[in-house]
Amino acid sequence: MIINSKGYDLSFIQKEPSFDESDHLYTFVFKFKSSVNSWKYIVRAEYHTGDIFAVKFYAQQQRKSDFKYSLITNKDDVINILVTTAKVVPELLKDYPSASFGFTGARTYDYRSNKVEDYRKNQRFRVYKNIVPKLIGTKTFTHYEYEKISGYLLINNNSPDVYKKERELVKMFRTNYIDLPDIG
Amino acid sequence: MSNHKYKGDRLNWTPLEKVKPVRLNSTLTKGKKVQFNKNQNKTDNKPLLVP
Repeated sequence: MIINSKGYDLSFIQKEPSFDESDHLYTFVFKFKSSVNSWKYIVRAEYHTGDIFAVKFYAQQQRKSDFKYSLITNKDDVINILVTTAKVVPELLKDYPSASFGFTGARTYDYRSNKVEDYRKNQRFRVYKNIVPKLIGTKTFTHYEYEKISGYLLINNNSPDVYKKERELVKMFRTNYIDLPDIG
Repeated sequence: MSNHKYKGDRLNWTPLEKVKPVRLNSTLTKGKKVQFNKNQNKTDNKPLLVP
């Protein structure tokens, strides 16, 4: 697949503090608007101990839904939305040049049948896994995938020992997020 | 009566009320380094956002 989409301009909204006792320290919030479907989207980059951002996004219109990360919008423009979301990586690297990045594919919730897909190698993960290497190369990051939980990590190559860094970050996430988020 | 099945039915997904949290353990979080093909670094194949 060749990606021709350039995405949209990403606007920084705010930095949100985290008040829990976890390794989640704060969050940068961005937004953008699709010119195809006119919807606005929110991108959250949650900064954690170990210099890593967990990246998430959802449609602003669905912000109040308990399933905002898991819904299918059927509003098209997927590639532009994913390209724009990925733009947080170069944006944050300006201030965090050694940061790593991670994300998981949320399990899709089909509200019409009230059913949820499996957490292993889910639809979103399969799409992200295909697109991310076309947007983000191997000079800056070493890419790791976790099919059993639909996860993906970009470990910054500035780390003295990339493999050790990957293990440390996985352990940090496992300690802080004892359970894989069921849906959301 | 319609025989139409929704996506969750067709793909045999789990009913929402039966979805349980998944405990993260070392087996589930064992990662695999992604291997890139040799053409990845050709000029016309350069990553769009970050090298």
